[in-house]
Amino acid sequence: MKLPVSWLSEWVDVSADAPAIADALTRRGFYVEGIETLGAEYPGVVVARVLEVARHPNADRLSLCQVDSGAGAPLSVVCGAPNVRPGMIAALATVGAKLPDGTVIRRSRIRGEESQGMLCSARELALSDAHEGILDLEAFVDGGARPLPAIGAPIQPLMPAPDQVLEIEVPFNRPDGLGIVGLAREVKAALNGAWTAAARARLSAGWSAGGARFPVTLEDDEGCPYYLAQAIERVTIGPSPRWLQDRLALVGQRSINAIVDLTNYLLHELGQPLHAFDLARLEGGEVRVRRAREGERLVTLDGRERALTREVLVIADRARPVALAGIMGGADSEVTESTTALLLECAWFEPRRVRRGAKALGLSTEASKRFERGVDPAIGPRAVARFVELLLALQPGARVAAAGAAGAMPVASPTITLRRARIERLTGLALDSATAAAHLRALEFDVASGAVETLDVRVPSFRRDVALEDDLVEEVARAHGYDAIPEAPLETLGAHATRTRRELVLASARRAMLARGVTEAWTTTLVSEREAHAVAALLGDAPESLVRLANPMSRESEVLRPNPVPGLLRAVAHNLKQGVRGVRLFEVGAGFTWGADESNAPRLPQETPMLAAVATGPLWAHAHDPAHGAEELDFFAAKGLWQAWLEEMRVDTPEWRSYAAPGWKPGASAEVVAATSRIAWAGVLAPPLLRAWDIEVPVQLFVALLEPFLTATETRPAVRLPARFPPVRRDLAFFVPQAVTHRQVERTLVAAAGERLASIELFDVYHGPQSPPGMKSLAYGIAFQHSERTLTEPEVQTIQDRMVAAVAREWSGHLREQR
Amino acid sequence: MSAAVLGRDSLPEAWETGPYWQLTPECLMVRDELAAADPDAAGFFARAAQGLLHAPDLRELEARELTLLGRERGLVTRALGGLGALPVDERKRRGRSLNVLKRALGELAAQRRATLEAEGEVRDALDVTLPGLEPWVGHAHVLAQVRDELLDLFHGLGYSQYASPEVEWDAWNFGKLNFPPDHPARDAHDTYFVTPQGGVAATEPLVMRTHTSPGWVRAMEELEPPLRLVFPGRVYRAEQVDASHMDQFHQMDGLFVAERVSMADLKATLNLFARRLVSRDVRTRLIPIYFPFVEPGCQLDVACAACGGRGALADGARCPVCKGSGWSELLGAGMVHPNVFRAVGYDPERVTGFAFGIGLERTAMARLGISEIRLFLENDVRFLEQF
Repeated sequence: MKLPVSWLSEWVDVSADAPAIADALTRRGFYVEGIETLGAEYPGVVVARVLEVARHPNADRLSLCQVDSGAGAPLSVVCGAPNVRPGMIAALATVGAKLPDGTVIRRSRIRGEESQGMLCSARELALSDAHEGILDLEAFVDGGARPLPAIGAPIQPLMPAPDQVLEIEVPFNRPDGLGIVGLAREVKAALNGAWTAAARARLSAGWSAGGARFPVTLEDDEGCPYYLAQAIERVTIGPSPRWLQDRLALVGQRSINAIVDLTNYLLHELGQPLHAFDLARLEGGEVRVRRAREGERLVTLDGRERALTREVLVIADRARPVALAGIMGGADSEVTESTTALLLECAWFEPRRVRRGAKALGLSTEASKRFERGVDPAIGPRAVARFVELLLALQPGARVAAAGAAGAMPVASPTITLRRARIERLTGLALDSATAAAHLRALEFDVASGAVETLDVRVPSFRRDVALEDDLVEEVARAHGYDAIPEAPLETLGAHATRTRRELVLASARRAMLARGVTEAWTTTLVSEREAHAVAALLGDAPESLVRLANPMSRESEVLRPNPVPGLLRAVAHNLKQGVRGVRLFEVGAGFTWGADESNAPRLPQETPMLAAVATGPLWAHAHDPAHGAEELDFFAAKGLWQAWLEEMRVDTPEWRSYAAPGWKPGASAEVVAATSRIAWAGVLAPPLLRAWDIEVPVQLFVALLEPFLTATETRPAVRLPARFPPVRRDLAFFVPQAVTHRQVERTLVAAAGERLASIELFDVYHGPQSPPGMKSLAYGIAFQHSERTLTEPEVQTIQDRMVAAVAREWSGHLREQR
Repeated sequence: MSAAVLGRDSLPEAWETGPYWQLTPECLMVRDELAAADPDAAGFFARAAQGLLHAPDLRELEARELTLLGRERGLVTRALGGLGALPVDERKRRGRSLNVLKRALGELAAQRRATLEAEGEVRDALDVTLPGLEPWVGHAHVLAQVRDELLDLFHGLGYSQYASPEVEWDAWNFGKLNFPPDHPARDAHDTYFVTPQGGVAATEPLVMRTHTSPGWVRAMEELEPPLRLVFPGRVYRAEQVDASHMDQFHQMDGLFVAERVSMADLKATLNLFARRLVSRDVRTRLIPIYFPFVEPGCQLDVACAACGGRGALADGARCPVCKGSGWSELLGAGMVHPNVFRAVGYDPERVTGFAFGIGLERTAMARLGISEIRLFLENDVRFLEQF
C-alpha cells in the first residue's frame, strides 16, 4: 500500500516528517519498506509560446522555432519533437535553467543553428516517461479548465507539489491499513495527532436512501448481507481533473475516466471498493445479488470471458450476471462515453465468499483483496456520501436519483474484557490500567472507565482482527512499544536438552561419511518423474510407491524423491560439466514413498531416513606421482569406503551379497545385510542410467537405510583383551572352482579353525595359466593364537589340516602351496 | 711379520690427493708426535690420514677404513697383532705409537663419515614443497554447519530437537496453527499439495509443509508442558526459483511453553541468539508483525551490516541492502496464539509460551555475505569445499 504524505496530511494533523512517520508505522507493525520522494524544482523553466516553426536547414528531423519567453525578443530554439507547432504553449528551459535530472541548459549550436533554450518533454520534467514529444501545457492543465499563468512565468506552480510516498507492507489481518484513513488513524495514535476538520466531516457524513427507491434483492444474504445502491443521472464520462489523476498516480493507479477514477480514489482513501454500472445497461432497472448458476458466463472488464460456478457470488440484473461481486465488473455494464446515468454500488461482501470466488476464477483485484480481508462495514454510507459530494463538485449538473439499501450493516463490535495481569503475563510490561486504556482509546477502542484490574473494551467496526483478549494485549503492547519490553534473565537453571537417538544416529552417519573424505551435499526433494522411476528401481521400489505433487511448478520438480540419488546425480553432472574431475558427495535425508498398507485409511507417506553417497574420478584427491595418479576409483576402492563407514557405524559382521536390479551395472552391485535385515546397497551404476543425467563416466553408489540404526538397541559386546602370547602365522592358498566365492571359503575356514583363529585375511586372488581349468586360487593370511600360552607347532598343524580338509570337502578345493 | 711393514708405501699413492698442508692441525700434531718416535709410522699416518680425509664417497671411505683398521685384515690391526714378537722396549715404544695412530685414524674416519653423510643428505633432500599424496577431505554442508551451530546454542539453553514430517496434513500445517480455511494469510504460503495415495481424495488435503511450525502442534499433542524444543527442517513453497527464492529451503522453529513465559523471556532469548550469531554488541529492535499462530507477534531486526545501521553508505548514498532503513530482518517470533494452544488441548490460561522461526539460508547468506540462494542446493564442490 502506498501512502502519500500529502494525502495523509489531508486527514490528520501531525508535525512529523516522512522518516518519522515511517518509523512510527514500522514500530507499530506496518512495515515501511521505503520512502519515495516525488516532485522537483524547475529553476529557469518558464511558460512559453511557440511563434513559428521552420525546418532546420541542416537536419530533416529538427525544427527551428521562434519562441516567446515573455522577455524581450523571441528566442531561437532548436527542437526535435514531432508535435511542436505554432501557437503551442510549452515549457521552455531557458539558458541557465536546471532540469530535475541536474542538466543545466546552455546556449549551444545544433547543426550550425543557435539554440537559446530547450522545449521540454514530460520526461525531461520528471513527470512521466513520455518522451515522444514536448509537453503541451494547455492539455496538461485540464484542457484549459485551469487558467494558465502568463507567458514568461515560472512553470513551478503548474507542476505537482513535492511529495513523499511511503511504501507499506500491510499485515494480512489489518484490512483497515488498505485505506488512507486506516493508516491515518494509526499515525494519529502513534504521533499524538488529531483528525483534521475535513476528516471529521467525512467520517461523520451521513447518507440514506431517500427519494425514489431503487430495487435491490439479496438472494444470498450470507454472501452479501449489506448492499447500498445510488443512481446518479445527467453525468458525463470524460477525463478526470489533474488533481485526481495525480492522486491516483501517487498510489499507482492508472486514470481511466472521472467516474471510475472516483471509485478508485475512494477505494484507496476509505478502503471501501465501489463499482459504477451504466444504469441503462441494467435490464429491468434492478440488481440482484446471488450465486452464479452453473454454465453462466460473464465477460469481465479486462475483456476475458469467464465461466462461472456456484462458488462465485454475482451481481445480476433481471436477466444475467453483470458483475463478479467484490471482484470485478462486467464489460457489458461498465460506464462508457455514452453513459448518462450510473448506479453506484457500495456493498459488504462476505470475505470467504469473495475469496472462494476469486480462487475459483484465478482472479485477484484491488477490490477482492480488500473484501477478502474484511472491509469496515460501517464505512459504506460515508463512502456513498463522499462519492456523491466529489462527483457533484466535478459535475455540478449531475442529479442524485433513486437509491436502494438492502440488508443490515454487519457490524459486530464485541466487548472484550482485558485483564491488566494478562498484559504483564504475556508481555512482561507492568502497565497500569489507565495507561492501557489510553493506548486503546487513541486507537478508537471504546474503553469503559473506572476499573483497576480489568478493562471492558469495545472494538470499533474497522478492527475486525481483534476478537480475543490477547489481541488487545498486542494492541496495548505495540502502542506502548516493544522497545519498552524488558529483557528477562535467561532461566536455564534445570533446563536440559535431550539428544534423541534419531539426532545422534543422523549425526554419526554424517560424521562417519565425512571422515571417509566424502563431502556433504543437500539436494532437491522434488525431482522429475523420469528420475524418480530410475532411482526407485535401484532399490526395488515400484512406481506405484512414488509420491507426487498435485500442483507442480515444473516437470523437473513433480515427484518427491524416493531416495536422495537423483539430486546427487544432478550434482555429479553439474560438477563434471564445470570441469571438476573427481566428485564424492553424500546426503543424509529422507526418501518419500507410499508404503504398503491394506487399510484404506488416509495417511501420510513414509519418510525413510537414508544416507546416499556417490563417487567418481581418481582414487586420490591429488597425486603428483604417476605411480598413483592414474588410479581411478573402482568397485573395491569404493567398497572399502562403504565398509569403513559400516564399521564406524558399528555394524556387526555385515554380509555382502551380489544383487541385481535395473540401473546397476550387471555383476557389479551388492546388497549389505546385517543381522537379519538389508541395510544398504552398493555398486557401479549402469551407463544407460547415468546417460539420463548426461554422465559419461562410471559412478559408484552407496545407499544405506538409517531406520535400523534408530530402532537397534545398543548392545555393547564383551571387551576382548589383546592376547599376550605371540600368534603363529600361516599363509594358505587354495584352488577352488571359479563359482565359489571368497565369502563361502572364508566361512568354511573360520568354522574349521575354531577358537584358536585370531585373524584371517584374503591377500591374493588368481586365475590364469598356473591354475587348473575352471579353478581359481584364493590365498589367505591366517593367524592362530592361544590366550594363555604359546601354541605349539603340532597344534597349529592339526588345525591347519582340519581347515584344508574342510575346504576339500565342502568346495572341492585343494591346497595350492604353503609358505 | 714385521711391524716395520707400516710405512708410507704400505698404502697406495693415490690416497695422497692433496698436499700435506691440507691436513688439519690435529693431524699435524699427531704426525709430529709420531715422527719423533717412529718416522715410518709418521709417513704411514700422513698418507692414511689423507686417504681418509679425502675419501670421495662413503663406499670408498668404508673400503679404506677396512684396509687400515679392519678387524682382521686391517694394516694397523695386523701391526698391533705383530707387536708380541718384538722385544719389550721396542714393543712398548711401537705399541704406544700404533695406538696413537689407531685412535687418530678412527677419529678421522668418523669425521669424514659425518661430512660425507651430511653432504649425502643435502644431495638426496626431498623437495618438501611437492604436494602430498592427498586423500579426499569431506566438508560438511554449509547449511548443516549453520544448523549445528544453532542446535548447539539452543541445546545449551535446554532446547531438545523434535522431528516432524515434511509431508503434512493441511490441518497441522495451517488449521491448528490458526489459519482457518479460506484465510488470506494462506496467500503468503504458496503451497505444494501432494496427491493422496492412489489418487483417492482424502478428507484432509496433504501439503508439503510450508514452515516447520507444524512441529509445535505435533510436539504439544504428544508431550505435556513444560517444553523447550527446536524444529530444524526443510520447508516448501510453490514459488518460481530465482536468486533470492527457492521452492525448498530450511527453517528452525523454537518453542518454549511453561506456566509463565513472556515476551521478556523471548526478547532475552532472541537477543542472545543475535549476539551469538552476529556480534556481541549488535544493535537489535523488536517490532510488531502479524503471523496467525502468534499473538502478540514480533520480528527481530538487527542493525544493517552493510551500512552499520545508518541507512546510508560512507558517500551518503542510500544503503542498497536495507534500502535506507538501517535495519535488516533476522527472524519472526511471538507468543503462541491461544487458538493454537486450544487446538492441541493446552489451556491458554494455564500455560503461555513463545515461539520463533529462524531461516537457515537467510542466516547463512547474511553471515557469508552472499545473495544467491540457489548455491545451497546446487552442490558445486567449489562452493561446498570452502566451508
